[in-house]
Amino acid sequence: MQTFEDRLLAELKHVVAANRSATEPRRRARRWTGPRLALAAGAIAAAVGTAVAVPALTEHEQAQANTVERIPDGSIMVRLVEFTHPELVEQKLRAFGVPAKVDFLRFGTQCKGREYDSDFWMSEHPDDGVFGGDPGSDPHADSDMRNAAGARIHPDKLKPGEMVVLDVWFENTKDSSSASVVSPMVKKIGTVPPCVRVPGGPRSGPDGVGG
Amino acid sequence: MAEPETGLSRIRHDPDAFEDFYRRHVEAVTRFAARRVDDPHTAADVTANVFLAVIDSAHTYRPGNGTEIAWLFGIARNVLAAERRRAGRELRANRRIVGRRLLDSDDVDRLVERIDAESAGRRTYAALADLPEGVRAVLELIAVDGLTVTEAAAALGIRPVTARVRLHRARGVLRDVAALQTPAIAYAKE
Repeated sequence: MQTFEDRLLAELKHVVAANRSATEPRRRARRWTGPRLALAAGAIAAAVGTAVAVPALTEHEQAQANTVERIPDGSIMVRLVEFTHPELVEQKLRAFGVPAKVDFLRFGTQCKGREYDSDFWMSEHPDDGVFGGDPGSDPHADSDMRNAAGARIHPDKLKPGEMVVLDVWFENTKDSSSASVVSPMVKKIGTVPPCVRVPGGPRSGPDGVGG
Repeated sequence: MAEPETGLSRIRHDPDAFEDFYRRHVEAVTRFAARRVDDPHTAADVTANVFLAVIDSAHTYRPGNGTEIAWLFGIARNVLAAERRRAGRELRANRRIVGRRLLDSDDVDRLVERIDAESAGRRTYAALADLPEGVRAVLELIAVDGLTVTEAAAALGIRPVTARVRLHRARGVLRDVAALQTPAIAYAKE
């Protein structure tokens, strides 16, 4: 007969196994060199813990680069490759019926009152299914988002009055930008005030990978 | 090239290594929780969160700084403190594992028995509440959890001599607190 301790062990072993998976793309990111950066331009940065470098874009290109699209299962996929125009991402999300507040943040800062929680993507049911994979998929990693900076949003799970909040941490280097942490939340009631930046949040690791 | 992982740091990535660690300590952790909370659901949450914190912190363990159990109880104290700080906030949805969801009625009964069995420890824990934090932390680990002075020092990241000084002060402070006249304090082992 299974006890609480047995069930907890099984859950925790999933977490450990997910840690092992999560380290693999992180190592790949370190090895990327010039020619590979071009290949990465259309790729997605990491939702949690992995940096993907993209070539520097002109301001106009940057404004156009982030995409918000509906995918066949009805969910909305946000893919982020530039980090200067959060308001455009908000507009695109609103066009899909998703009220949203998006902030692009430097590592080492966070929005006051919206403290970073690194556990989010490891949740079994993050925010009642608004984010991430479909129910029944691996609860510890959404395969589509494991290598993406952005979020998959299930608008049908949003209740009236709720608002999606995306805090995205990014880093610019001479030749590229990268985002490695996205912290999605659902504001239950009311609007989200403008971000007042305070120290905190995730920090960029030595290889540019946030955590 | 990455350094090969050894010892406890492996439990972050190796499910088998983690299972060995978990089986060695899960009872101690649930008892730790049962000495501090009187609700089986909260005890289950605390137990789950302690092991999640262990997974995240495994690389910080240094055998030279103390025993596994001292390190583990140090983490457990931090988890419990964090749990209480954020008790009023709606963060449960963001946790990786919510321990209480894993409980069935038999588990609840068993945890209630464990909580009952730890009632003396819980009374002692409550009686320490008004003491200065540094003194209370040392006393808590010795009188409530049965650690030695050296282990308590390791759990708190302080020098053993500092722990001994705090314990000495505590004996004076506690002279009149009947609930704390326990052999664990009077004869605390080094």
